[in-house]
Amino acid sequence: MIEIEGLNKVYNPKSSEPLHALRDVGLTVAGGECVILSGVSGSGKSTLLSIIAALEKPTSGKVIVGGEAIAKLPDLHASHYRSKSIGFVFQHFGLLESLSVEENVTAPLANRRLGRADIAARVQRAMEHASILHKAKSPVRELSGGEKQRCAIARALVNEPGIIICDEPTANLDTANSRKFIELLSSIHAEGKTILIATHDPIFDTLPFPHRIVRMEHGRIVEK
Amino acid sequence: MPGSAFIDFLLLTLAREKSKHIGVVFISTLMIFLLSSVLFLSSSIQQSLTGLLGAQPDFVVTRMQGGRAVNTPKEWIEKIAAIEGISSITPRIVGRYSYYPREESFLMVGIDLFDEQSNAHLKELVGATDLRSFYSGESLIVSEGVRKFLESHYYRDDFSFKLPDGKLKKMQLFATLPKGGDLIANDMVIVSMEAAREIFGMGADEVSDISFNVPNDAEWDTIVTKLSLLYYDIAVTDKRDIARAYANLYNYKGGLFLILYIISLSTFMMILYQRYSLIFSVERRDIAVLRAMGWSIADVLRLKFYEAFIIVLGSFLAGSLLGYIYVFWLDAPGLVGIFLDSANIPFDISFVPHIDLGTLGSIFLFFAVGFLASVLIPVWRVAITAPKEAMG
Ligand SMILES: Nc1ncnc2c1ncn2[C@@H]1O[C@H](COP(=O)(O)OP(=O)(O)O)[C@@H](O)[C@H]1O
Ligand SMILES: [Mg+2]
Repeated sequence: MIEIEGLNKVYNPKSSEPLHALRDVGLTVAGGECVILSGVSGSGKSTLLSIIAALEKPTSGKVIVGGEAIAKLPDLHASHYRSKSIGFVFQHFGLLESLSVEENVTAPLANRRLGRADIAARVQRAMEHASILHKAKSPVRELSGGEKQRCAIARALVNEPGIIICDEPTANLDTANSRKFIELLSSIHAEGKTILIATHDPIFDTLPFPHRIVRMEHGRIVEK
Repeated sequence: MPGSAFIDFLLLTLAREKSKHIGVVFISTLMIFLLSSVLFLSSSIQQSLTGLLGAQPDFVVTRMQGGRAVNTPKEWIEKIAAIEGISSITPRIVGRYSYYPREESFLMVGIDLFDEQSNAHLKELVGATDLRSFYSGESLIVSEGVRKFLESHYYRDDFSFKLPDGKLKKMQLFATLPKGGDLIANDMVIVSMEAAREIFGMGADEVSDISFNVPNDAEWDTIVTKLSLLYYDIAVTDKRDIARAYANLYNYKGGLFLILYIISLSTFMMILYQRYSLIFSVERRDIAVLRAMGWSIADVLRLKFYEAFIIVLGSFLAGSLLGYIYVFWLDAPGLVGIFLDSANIPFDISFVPHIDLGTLGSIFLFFAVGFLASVLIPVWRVAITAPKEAMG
């Protein structure tokens, strides 16, 4: 469960023209729910997601995730929270280009104190889940766009987080791959994970599973 | 200690991004190589000098005429020996023998092997020499450098010296001086006193100088006074004068190198700093991605720290190993001329390995701290900014 109340984010607050990226945002997302944040570029979607992931601190407001207030966590706790609760999928996939698929999926586990066998098993499971197991040893720079994204999803799943956050996940995919992505999303949703997606792709207007669309404009939520 | 997963990941990224590090490793290794060569060379030289000085007699006196050292009468010995506190008094015949028509010259030392030697190295040498066979013919004891030189001129068993009257004097190569005090005695030839006198054309009642020891330091100054009262034309050199001259010379050269080194090291650090400040957008993005995956700032810094540390340690070990080989196996071609006035060292020198661990350690610290700071400060600045870039 995610509860957001009175959230504001101002960039460059001390400059002559401070930038209000988020204005008085309130939003509640139930556990297992899928929420689509839609809105034009610059409306504040990414900023909202990065605050939920504790990558950024809000200027004011409350953010409570799974009962824990995360708005003002110091870095060490914020990272721990991210590692435990959040899986990220980026628009440009954000893969480490010199590594293979398997090695990329290992990255979120490398800072944790886990045994080698445990890590191998988790990585295997995540790759299987994201249907990228057959490319495990391939360098990611040799993958197609769709494969890259599945690798990114496997990486997001490897820590078994309760919340999956996708920022413009289909922006670099063709229609066929976008559909495959939505299928995969549907199976992740079926497992009861909470899903947050920022997008302006109309393909998300009709999803084959229950979801809620939240529209953003100029840093405000205008329609839930 | 980082966990095994972390170490695996560190080694993995290092191995996969070798090309990214190769330039830095190369320059670091080169810098450490240069510095450690200079260091090895100068500490080996200083070690030899200290050893040599330690072995030198405390005092050497000679007769001066018109400001020029001339042959010293042998009869001075008795009066000097009568001064309280003086021991191991040894007359010496020393001079440079020029190997005509080349410009090379030997330092020829004529000694009486039956005398008590005031020079500790010679004392040792005499102890190890079979005196009977040395005196059974015209014998030469030469240093390693002279031996190599003679060999390269096809003198394997004997060498002929030209006497003042134009005749040749053939002498047998009897032994080679042990390595050790090598550097200074590098061009030394030891012969009997009679042979030296003959070669230099000295009278039977003359020597080059007279050396002796004064075991009690407190008496050194009074001894100098007593000597000058004894003879108006005596010149006295004590060991401290020589030590001071050496120290001045090497402090000057060492200081020059240190300045050059600091300049190049700081340039290198500046370049490193810039390289990591403008970290390629890929690297910035990778750091941002790791942060979004749940890595803390500390985790990112730890990764980069170990990465840089492995580079520093590897370059340091490689550089100092190369320096060691260059100086002690190859005898530092090129660098020797800068450190030693080549006019004094006409023959091949080989250096006795001597490593000043303290200095080597402080170079490592200095280098490692500079390197790590130049890498980690910019990385830290990237890591603390919100990793939004990963999301774009
Ligand atoms: N780090 C930042 N510094 C300054 N302004 C920013 C920063 N990140 C985002 N912004 C601004 O905040 C606004 C919202 O951006 P963003 O959340 O990325 O929107 P969206 O994801 O909907 O395109 C934009 O005007 C953007 O320029
Ligand atoms: Mg965005």
